Amino acid sequence: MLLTRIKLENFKKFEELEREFGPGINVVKGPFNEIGKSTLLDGIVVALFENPRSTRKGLEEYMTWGSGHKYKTAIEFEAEGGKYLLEKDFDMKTVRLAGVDTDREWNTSREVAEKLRELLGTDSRALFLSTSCIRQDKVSEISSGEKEIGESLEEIVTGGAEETVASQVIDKLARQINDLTRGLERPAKSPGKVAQLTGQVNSLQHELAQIRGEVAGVERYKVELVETSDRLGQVELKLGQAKTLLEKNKRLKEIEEKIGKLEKDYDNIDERIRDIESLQKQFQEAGLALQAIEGFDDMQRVLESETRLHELEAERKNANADLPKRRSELEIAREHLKMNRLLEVLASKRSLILGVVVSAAGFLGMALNTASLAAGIIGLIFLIGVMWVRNSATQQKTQISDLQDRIGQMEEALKEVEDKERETLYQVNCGSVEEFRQKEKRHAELVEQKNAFQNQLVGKRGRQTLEQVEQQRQNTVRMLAVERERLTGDLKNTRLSPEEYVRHENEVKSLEYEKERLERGKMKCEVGIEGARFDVEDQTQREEELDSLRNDLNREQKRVKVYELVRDFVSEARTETLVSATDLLQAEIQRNFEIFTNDKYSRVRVDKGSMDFGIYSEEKGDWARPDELSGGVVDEFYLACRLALTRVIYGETQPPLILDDPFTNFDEPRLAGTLEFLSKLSKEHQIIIFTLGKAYDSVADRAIELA
Amino acid sequence: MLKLLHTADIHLGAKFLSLGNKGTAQREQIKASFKKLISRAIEEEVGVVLIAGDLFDANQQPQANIDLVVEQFDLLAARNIPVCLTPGTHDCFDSGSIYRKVNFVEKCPNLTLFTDEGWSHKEFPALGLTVYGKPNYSNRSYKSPLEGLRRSTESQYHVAMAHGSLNIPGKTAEDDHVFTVDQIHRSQMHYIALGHHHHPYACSDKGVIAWYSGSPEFISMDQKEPGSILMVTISDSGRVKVEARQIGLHCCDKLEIDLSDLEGLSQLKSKIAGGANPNLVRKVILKGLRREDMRPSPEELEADLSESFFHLRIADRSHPRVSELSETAYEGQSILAKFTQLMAEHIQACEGGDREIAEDALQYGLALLQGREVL
Repeated sequence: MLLTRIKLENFKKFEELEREFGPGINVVKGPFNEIGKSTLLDGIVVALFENPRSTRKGLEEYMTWGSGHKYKTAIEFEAEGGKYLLEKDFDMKTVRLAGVDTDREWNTSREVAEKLRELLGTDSRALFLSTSCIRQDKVSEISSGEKEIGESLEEIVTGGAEETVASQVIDKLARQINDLTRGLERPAKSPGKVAQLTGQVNSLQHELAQIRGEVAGVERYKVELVETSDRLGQVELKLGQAKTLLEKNKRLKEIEEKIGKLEKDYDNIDERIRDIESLQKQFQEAGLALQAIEGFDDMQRVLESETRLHELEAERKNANADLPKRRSELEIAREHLKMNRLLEVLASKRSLILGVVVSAAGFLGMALNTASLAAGIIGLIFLIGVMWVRNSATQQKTQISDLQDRIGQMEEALKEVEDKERETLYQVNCGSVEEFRQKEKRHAELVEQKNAFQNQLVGKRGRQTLEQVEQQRQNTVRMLAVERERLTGDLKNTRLSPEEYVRHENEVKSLEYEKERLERGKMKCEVGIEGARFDVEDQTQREEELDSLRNDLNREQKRVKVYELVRDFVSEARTETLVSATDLLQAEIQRNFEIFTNDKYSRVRVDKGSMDFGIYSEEKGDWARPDELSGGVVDEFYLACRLALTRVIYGETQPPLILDDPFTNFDEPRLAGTLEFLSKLSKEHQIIIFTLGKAYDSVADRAIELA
Repeated sequence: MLKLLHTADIHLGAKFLSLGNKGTAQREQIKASFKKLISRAIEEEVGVVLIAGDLFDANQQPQANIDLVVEQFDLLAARNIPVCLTPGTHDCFDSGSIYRKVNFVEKCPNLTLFTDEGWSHKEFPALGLTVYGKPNYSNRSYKSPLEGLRRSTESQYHVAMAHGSLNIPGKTAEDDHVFTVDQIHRSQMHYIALGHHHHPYACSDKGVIAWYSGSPEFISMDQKEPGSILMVTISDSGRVKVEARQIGLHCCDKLEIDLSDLEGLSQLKSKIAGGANPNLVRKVILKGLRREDMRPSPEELEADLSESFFHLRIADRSHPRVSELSETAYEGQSILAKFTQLMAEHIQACEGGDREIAEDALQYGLALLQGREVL
């Protein structure tokens, strides 16, 4: 490509600037700093690469201060056998590339960029600046060791913006991927976003599963509750009906029993009344009969008479019992007396004196003769005997006398008893005791009967009067009527046979058991529903939250995939580019370096993939890194690499090489060698050198002043 | 004259996966709109409230929603306003139906719940009205919900409720409880209160009048207007007049933005935010070919702009312009060029989501290699 003309309007300090370029070496000179060399360079770059429609802030810096309008650029160039004019109006935001020799035009930024790529080899400002523009500051970076050549070259080979190195992009992506995915495979203190979201999603899924389970359980409880409540209602209804039937039956039975009892009571009371009336009649009759017994109207008198008669009877009895005995005793006594007459003779007074004399003599004789003692004893015995007989006789006589007296008394008393007896009997209007006894017996019988009747009456009446009992009967009749009224047709219709009753009782038991079971079931459902920790709203919120988290996770996972893809493809692109470029690069660098160093260093090697360089030093007899050689050699090597890289990157399509006074550190021999190299190079490339001084005048094909 | 309030598709307890963390708030708003429609029924002194299905979004409901319905129906009962309700597709009368779990009829004496298989009716002699209803037993069915609908009484007014889809050939799924306009006209009704679709729509405005009431509150992204209810008046002569009354608060819109025409992020933000209001649910689709230096982050845009909306959702369906790079793009021996070439080949070999990721990777990689910061 060959730049031929540039025109700038309202571009920074240039209200209007127009310059022409030609093939070979074009030296743009300005004797002072700030004269506009950098502005012209900027103008070339803007004219070639910037989009008038771009809103990139940096473009406003190119406006002329105080101007109300933005700038215009126009650049003419030759490429691939054609001439082209590229015009840009940054105020009107228009672009136009026209083939000067043809009618072809390209009026959109996109079309222009495509065409420029075709003609220039790139439409990237960044790539152009990093490859075709060799600036003094870049050379300084290498000289000062601020940047490695390899890094610098890779920056160029990357083809992107300045300071952008593919390996650093790869590293950055790796860090970003790591930041996002940290904690996914192994636990980490600070997990990345993906791990965090994955954890949150898993946790929420787990929580949601629990909530769903619980909510589903609650819903099942609800259904079960309704079913159980319905069934319970049915059972309660049936139970109520069964119980009602049983109760009615029970009531029927009770009423009938009550009626039966009342009827029985009525019969009893009726019988009782009849009995009372009968007893009363009998009582009255007994009373009348009693009254009919003469003399027995005053019972006190009768009792006294009875007592007296009884006493008299006892007396009589005693007397009658005693008198024969006494009479018998008298007879016996008399008999005894008769028998004792003989003894009586013996027991006379004479016998008595005899006994005394004999016994006295005996005892007195004892002083004379001891044999008289026997006489005394005999006499004593005789005396005693006589005395006894005498005593006995006396007693018998006395006894006979007493007996006689006594018998006389007893007979007297007996007579008296009989008199009293008669008197007593007379009081009670009885002729004889026998009659009295009969009357008494009759009386007693009647009294007993009357008492019996009385007792029976009391037993029948109780504490009630007959009227009260009759009232009771009437009450019973009324109660009967009431109970019979309660015995409705409805009740009668519920009559169950005993077997049916038992069956219904069993049914009630069964229903009560069923009711209890259903009530337990209902309570279980109610407790289950009441005790639920979560409801449907909780579930819905979690589902929404989970969906949101999943979207976030998907987004981050997609981001990771994008980063990984970029990393992998940049890595692959880097490897392929570096590997494929290395051989060519090595040859070009070696060629350029040989020239720059006047053949001092003729062997260069470039490590495939890493962009590590080696220069064979004949002096050292070994390979060395560029920074191990002198500072000037580093600059030269760098330039050799830059030039080689441009060839490698652009291939046949070579843009103009723009050098912004990069050889200021070169000593004269080197500079001379470099100028010679540039001169040769300019046969193939347009070279535009921006400089302050005259260092390049000797090789310049055209000088462009910026005074 | 008879005045009734027709609503349907309230969807109490609805889930909103598309509203992010605003789901709970929207469920609360649905409840608020439900209360509002009840208040409106009382204010307008309607003769009856008709709820033509999907009162509940699902047959599983939190107790709070059940209590709310009972409470609101009680308010109507206090004003002697009966409610007629039929199970729809979301709250269908299957074995797990909410209407089997909760005895609403016992709790709300003014409620008529149609659960019998086949058409049943409820007469309101004081209103001269017979309301006909038939429940949906499942979410999907090939049976028409209007099949067999005929007058059964001698009332002055005959109104039916049904939940299903009007047959639109080629558009309506066969098992979506489909009914036809013919069936509407054969029904002998004065008015058919329909439910299933979320915006008000007249299926028939001549002869037998049949309308979808739409949802009273935002339920789905096809509701461009706030929710409404229908006030239906039937004159003594049988003439039916239907008026929609706005009840709902939130509505939604969908914006498709072609990034091809945009210069930058600020322009995009401006387009997204245009017409923002706190009651709007906006779905934004980014499409077209975006510039190489524009890689909008839907999440960041949502974070920046969502405060102006009730909810903002942005989906990026755009493609980086670089995916249409010509073969000469980035020619040269640079890593950048090689990367572009390798990625372009990879994109060609990918499909679907993988292709999207590859396109994204190409744009991101180019940006990184060119020293530009993108997310």
